Amino acid sequence: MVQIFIKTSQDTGVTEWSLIEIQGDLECENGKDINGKFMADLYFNTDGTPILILGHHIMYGKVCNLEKPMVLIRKQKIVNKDDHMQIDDVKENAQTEYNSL
Amino acid sequence: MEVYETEGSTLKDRTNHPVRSKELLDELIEKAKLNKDELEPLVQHIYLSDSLTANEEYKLLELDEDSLDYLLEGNSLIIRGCENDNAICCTKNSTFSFKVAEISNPLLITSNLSHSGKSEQTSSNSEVLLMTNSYFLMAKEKPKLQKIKNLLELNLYCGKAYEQNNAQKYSINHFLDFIQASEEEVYNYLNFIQAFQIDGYWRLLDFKYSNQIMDNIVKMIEEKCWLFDKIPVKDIYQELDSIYDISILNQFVMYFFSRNEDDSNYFSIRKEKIVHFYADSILRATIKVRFFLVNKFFYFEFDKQSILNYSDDTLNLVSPKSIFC
Repeated sequence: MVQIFIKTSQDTGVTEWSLIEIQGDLECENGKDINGKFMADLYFNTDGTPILILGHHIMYGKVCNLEKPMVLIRKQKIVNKDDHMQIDDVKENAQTEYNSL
Repeated sequence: MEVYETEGSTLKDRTNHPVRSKELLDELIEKAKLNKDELEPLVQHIYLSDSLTANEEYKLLELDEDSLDYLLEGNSLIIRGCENDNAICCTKNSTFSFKVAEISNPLLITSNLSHSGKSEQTSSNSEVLLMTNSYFLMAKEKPKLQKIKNLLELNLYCGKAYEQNNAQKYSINHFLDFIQASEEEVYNYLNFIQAFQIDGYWRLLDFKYSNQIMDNIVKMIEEKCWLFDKIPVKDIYQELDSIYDISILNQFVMYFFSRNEDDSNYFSIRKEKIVHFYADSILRATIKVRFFLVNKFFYFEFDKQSILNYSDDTLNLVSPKSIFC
């Protein structure tokens, strides 16, 4: 019986992020650690089409606005003197989306 | 973008990512059979963050525009409920279901990404903070408020003398801890069920007790021959405050009377509320009776209540449905 609060982060405020949707799954060879690794180069055509070069793949996509806004939230456990309260911080907004085809 | 050489002669930038050399990029463009003339000057190098797989704590939440504005104004969305309940998320006045949506395509949340290649820069770095196949979504829902009435009925208020110290009492903060509704919806419901605030806790009055109060007030109206739309409520308080707590009297009056617009010293009766009250008391007394004609029944009972003369129209406010309870 708790109340979990979702609110805008005091320290970072709200920043804009981007969301890339890729058709397929992202995996690293031999199950090696993917953290910190380079993923892809993103170009844009003069007509505005985004082009993603990921490994051996060339993906064409389009830039579009999300139907409904999305926020990125991060869980933070805050221990008060009296009780545990979980707070999710809203970090950023993802407003636009790339669809990779 | 600053670039500096490290010992291993791999160029790295401010974010400590190796700079992808121009030669390498040109090679890739050629292999991809892309025409450099058709490309915008900016290329963005997307890296996976150092703590990507460890970032379990990041989640995506899809909202509607109003909820987003609500958050950006500095308010909090609040998830409420008990362990076994489905998750519910509330603003100050609305309730939403809180569910998980799963999709087949991974979503990558990326920082510092431009949506067009038009730039004075030729190269920049971005990081993927989160890679996920699921996100939370919210859909408007009806609040679940019946629990409030059920709990309040377990400890009805019958007057100071009958109060039990060990009985469970609830304040608004207690309710907000486990009732799956927004604060405003809870207050509206408490108003709807005619709950009273007594010593900081919300209570329902025992029916006999509230009947007593109503009978006392109605008796006064009859004795002093007050008009139904010109009742000097202060006189009621003066006369009855020896028997009942002034705060209870005040709330009682607010439920069954309304302040006159032209003269705030006088109140008018709220016909529907009072008729409803008496209909309730009649039905409680005659709960065993199942089938009868509505109009005739009310005519008979109200004969005894000589003070309040209501037309049949007003009496029909109590629908036949409520009789079969």
